[in-house]
Amino acid sequence: MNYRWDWSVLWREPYGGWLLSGLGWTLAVTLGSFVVALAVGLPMGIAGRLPSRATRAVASVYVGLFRSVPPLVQLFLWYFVIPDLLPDAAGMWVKRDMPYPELTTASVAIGLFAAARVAEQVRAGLLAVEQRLLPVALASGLRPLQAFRLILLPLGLRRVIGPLTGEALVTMKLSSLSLAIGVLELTAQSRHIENETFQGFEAFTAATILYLVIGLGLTAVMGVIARRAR
Amino acid sequence: MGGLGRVIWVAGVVVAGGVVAAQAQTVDAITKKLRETGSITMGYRETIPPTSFLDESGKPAGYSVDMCHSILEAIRVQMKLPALKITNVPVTLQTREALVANGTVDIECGGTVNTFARSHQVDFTPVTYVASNQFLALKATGIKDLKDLDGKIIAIAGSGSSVKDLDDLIAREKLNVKLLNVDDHAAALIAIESRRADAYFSDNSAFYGLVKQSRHPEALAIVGPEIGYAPQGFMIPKNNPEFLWMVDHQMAKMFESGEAEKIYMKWFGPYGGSVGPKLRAAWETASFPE
Repeated sequence: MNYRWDWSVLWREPYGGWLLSGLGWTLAVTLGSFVVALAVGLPMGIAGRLPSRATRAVASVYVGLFRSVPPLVQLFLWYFVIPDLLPDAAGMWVKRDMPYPELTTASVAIGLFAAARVAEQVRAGLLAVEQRLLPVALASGLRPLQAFRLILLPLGLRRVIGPLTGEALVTMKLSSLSLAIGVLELTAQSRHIENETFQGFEAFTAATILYLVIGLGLTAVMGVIARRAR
Repeated sequence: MGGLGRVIWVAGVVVAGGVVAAQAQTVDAITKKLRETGSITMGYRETIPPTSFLDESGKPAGYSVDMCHSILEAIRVQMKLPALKITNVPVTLQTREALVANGTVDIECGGTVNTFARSHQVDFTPVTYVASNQFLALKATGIKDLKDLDGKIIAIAGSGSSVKDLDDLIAREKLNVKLLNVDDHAAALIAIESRRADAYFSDNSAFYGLVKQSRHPEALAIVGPEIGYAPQGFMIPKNNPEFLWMVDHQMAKMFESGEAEKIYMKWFGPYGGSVGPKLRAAWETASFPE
């Protein structure tokens, strides 16, 4: 193999700066999409266990839809198709004036996909406590909605924190898809360095290690949260 | 912390692997393979017409492919090989360098810009094409020159090689523009056709294919001055001095005999292209005396 290793591309200017800025965008997309995933996934998961047939139907349609379409396809739909389905003025705003258009679109697209998975985790957590505790709560004199709000919800959500670590990692890994719509995140910047210097192995090694560090960091943070909540 | 330990361990394995791989080099592997097996691997791009692309029959075609076929045939004659078996390998922007560096591809016949950073890693043949950066815009935007760009949105492949030229241009001309990052040429075309951006700043050799690919080619215009100097060549793995010498030599003969220009006009002529002064100068410079 005729390859000349040159690890200095990782800190030499401007390449070191590109990697750092890529890391920043990766964290931004991860955080943005995880916030969307929780904001939509929690209510959807709860809706999936509420005694109302209508809310359960909404939740199951949502999960079925967003979980079955590949996330890259969803990202393309949100970026290329949806803005053109909106009324002209709104479409042009999304395309030209929305703040951070790529970041926003990526967070929404990846977040809504991950929300379907979060919803399933939440629903499963609620189901697990419900089987044991619902009869007890009702026997203690609570009305069904009170039992849900005071007993099942807090205990169920506590159970979900562990599995949610996995979902946080999923959003982190999916953040790399956002390069397809122009977010210059870690993978895109590694490609940028590769394209500019032809030192691709060094650049992608650095990206791999940074992803690993973010992943292990997220796992540690979620571990602390899980311990606190116990 | 266990996590940090794991990170260091993985990094160590990767670096060690790299050191081992970097030591396994042989000189003149390509000519040795040619002599022993009569075969060579040619890399091509699938989607950059008319430079290097797949034609309707699914075979590699284009200016670079014809140039390479001609070079390889001359080398076959020079080496007195009874026949030459060419294996075609498709390469992309992301894979081209790695496939040349690791020896999968013996000669990459696409349109790769030669820079000193890159030629540290692979060898380049003499210049085959000189690209520069220009703007592609919808005629309906009314953009005809740099001064029309005020307040407009410019699409740019954020991880491509035109970024620096655009930054310089914006600073020099004090342009008041917004930038939109796109991942590739196809996304850029969608961006300008859907009015997400007003103009696309890129290597103008890509525009031929983009205009052809568009559903409304007549609505598009290539505008503004040509900016920058991006000389393209074919890539050959390092440590192949004999093969590189033969390629350089055959290409010089093609430049002198007019064969190179004939192939150029075959592919770029229909688009109104001709051999420009910079490319002509590069060809004359590479045509050393016998």
